[in-house]
Amino acid sequence: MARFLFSRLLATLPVMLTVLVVVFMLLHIGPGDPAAAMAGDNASAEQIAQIRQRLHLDQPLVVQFLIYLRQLAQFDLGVSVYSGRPVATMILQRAEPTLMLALTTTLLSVLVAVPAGVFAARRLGLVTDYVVMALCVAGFSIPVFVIGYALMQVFAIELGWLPVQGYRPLASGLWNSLRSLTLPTVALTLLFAALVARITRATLLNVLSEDYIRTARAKGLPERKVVATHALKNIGVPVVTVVGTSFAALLGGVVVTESVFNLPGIGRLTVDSILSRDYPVVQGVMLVFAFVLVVVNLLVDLSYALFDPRIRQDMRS
Amino acid sequence: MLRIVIAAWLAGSLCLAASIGPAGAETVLKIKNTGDIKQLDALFTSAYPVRDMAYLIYDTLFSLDGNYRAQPQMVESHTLSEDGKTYVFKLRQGLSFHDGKPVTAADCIASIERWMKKDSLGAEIDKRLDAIRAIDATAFEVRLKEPFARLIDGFARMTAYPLFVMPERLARTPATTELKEFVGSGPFKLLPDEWVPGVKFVVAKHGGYKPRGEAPSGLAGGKTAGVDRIERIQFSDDLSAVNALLAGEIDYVAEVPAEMLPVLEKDKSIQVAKAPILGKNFQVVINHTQPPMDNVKVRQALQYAISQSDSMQAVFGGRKDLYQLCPALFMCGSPYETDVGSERFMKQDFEKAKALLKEAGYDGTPIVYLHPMDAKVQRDVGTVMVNAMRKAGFTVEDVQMDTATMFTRRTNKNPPKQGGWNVFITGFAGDALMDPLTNPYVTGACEKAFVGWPCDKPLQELWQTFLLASDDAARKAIAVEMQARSNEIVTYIPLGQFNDLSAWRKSVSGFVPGPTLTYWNVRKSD
Repeated sequence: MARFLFSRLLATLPVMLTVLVVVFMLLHIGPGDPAAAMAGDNASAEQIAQIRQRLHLDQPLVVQFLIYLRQLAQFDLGVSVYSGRPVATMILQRAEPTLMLALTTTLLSVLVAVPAGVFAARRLGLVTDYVVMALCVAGFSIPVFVIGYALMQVFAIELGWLPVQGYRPLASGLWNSLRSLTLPTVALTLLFAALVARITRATLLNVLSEDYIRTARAKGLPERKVVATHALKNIGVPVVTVVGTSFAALLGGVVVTESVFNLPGIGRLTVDSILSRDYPVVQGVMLVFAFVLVVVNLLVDLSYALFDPRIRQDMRS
Repeated sequence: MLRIVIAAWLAGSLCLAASIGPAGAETVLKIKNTGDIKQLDALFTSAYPVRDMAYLIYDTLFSLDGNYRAQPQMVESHTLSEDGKTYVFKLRQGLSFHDGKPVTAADCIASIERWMKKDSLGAEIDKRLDAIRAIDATAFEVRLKEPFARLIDGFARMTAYPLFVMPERLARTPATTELKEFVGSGPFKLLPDEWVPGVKFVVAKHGGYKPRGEAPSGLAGGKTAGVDRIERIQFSDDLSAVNALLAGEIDYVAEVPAEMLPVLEKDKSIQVAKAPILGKNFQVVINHTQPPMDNVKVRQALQYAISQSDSMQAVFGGRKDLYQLCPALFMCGSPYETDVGSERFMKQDFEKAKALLKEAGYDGTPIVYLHPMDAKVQRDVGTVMVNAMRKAGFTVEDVQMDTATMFTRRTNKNPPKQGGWNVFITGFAGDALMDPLTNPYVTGACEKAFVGWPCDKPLQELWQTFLLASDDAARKAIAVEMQARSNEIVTYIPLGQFNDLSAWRKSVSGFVPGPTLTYWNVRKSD
């Protein structure tokens, strides 16, 4: 197991390096100059040149990359070209809303979607199956900002039960924090639950047609027990894969949801930084996101062992 | 490592929690304004949001009043010697910085010296400066080599760059190095721990501030902190901000998109009005250095091609009450308003445009138009503009991009085929355009001019004459000449004047009309 873990962690290095090079090149080769954007409308060419010099943007690309690598070797993600604040601090300041939203959305999606998927699979071809699937199609098809504004109008503006916008951090109390996340969580859950429910249903239908299920039924086991004991644990691998991937995507920031509900998360930080060409922040966010993605994938891979003894055996050997 | 991450996260969480602010009797004004406050050294950016927030934190020696005249602010009294060369300034009693230390003449001198290194009018003062010295703790003297009537105007200016007074220890920071600490003596003090760029900018009442006795007028007069805190909340979505206003979660939205007016106007607790400032203007900027726009006839053809009315309708639809067609390069409603030489761009005439293009020998060379698609006004007005240019006989290459790319490309002096450009639209606030000394388009200063680089000796001479003019009548006469010359060589073309629409809850009152929007004197009731 330790060897498996070590080899997987080692494999993250080339991934991170590739991300580093690609993001750096894309940003620097693409159009746009933070010095010009930073200097503002009235700035003269001389003032812009001064800013470029200060930010090392006047150096050749290779030199700029080497400067960046030297910083990273010292565990320094650099500072924002605009605010002068450390990128690591900026990411951490924005991490909590994103992490909390990812957790609540994933939790609610699983709690809603897995039972719904099982329910639909067991009633294949009946009205209830069609209703669940129709809701999934709707959840998947309606843009999240439409759902978001509709929820906001009803529950925040008309009824006044929940805040319209903003995030209350955990330090202000769990209840406050959860209240501020309720509407964005529900809006996102409709999307992610639809995905998980469909996968659950489809996988369970496959499993229910397997020979060992037929054998279990032939032994006279009640259907509920067949599903609970024999079928459900065999849908674990694909469902966990989808849930894990969704969780990682949520951690990358959900820009539209964060904008609609004015959540100061990673998604908005990323987009703002890209639009203003704040290179160090974009690079830092991308690097952290790549790392998180690798770690989440590793955890998902490890979780397969819980569901499938063959994988457990492979890992041990 | 894990501990460090957890500790940092907790610190971030506590910081965000602190930014919610304490409950209780404290009055908190929550505002949504355009742009983000990422840094606060007003000598390092000409961005209006930074300047406007800096006005809350810093005080100035002089300020512009509602009639755009310089009035003493930190200064109690001042004298000018008979030879017009020596000014003596006496500070008001009781001025103090946010760190509790008194404001001294040494602080003012250091602030002036740093400002003169960055500001263009400051540089003109610096050229003429013989000596500047403290007389005592609250008085200082500025001795010039020659009389210069613009000194006090310079100290009062609000556009690129205002002279903000800060403690000497900070003002001694070289003008090439950005400040990291922001201590002023204004009516509000910065709460640095609660300031998270992209999220929130927070200031709190400066208890030690001594307002002037006069009534507030523009940026001058008594500045009273009417609320305990001001939180400038960052929104990336206009509709969310409007919803937050309707729900009472924020108090003021500075720029409301016209399409959201019906929703707001229905709510009796909301007041919607034009922002109480001079206004804004979007302009056609022309690259004078590249063909075919280096030909004055082609530029004049462009004047005939545009329609202020169509441009404004692209932004405001049928709401004619929200804008005005304005022939003045120095803004309508300003001291230098005139319509001289503006006939060509006040009446769209495609036939005259075509005739001028023919006269200029225009061969259909594509006009490279920089068209940002992520800025609503530039996007919509740009679409109208490109269409009008084509109808007038121009061949237009409509290059669509984002604003950051446009900012970069517009500094490129190469031919359009090598990454340069011919035409784009940008916007300036009225406070910049209203004064020939701060209007970036009318210097005629070639390489040193604003992008587009108009190069014109008569305009340069007029600018210098205006700089040295000592009375209002002479300045007005020169401004008229500057507009005439500027329109003749087509330094830029205004596209209509408008005020942003602001919306606020009726529990908020006390906005002072002036060159820009400040929040001192604004009060909030329950």
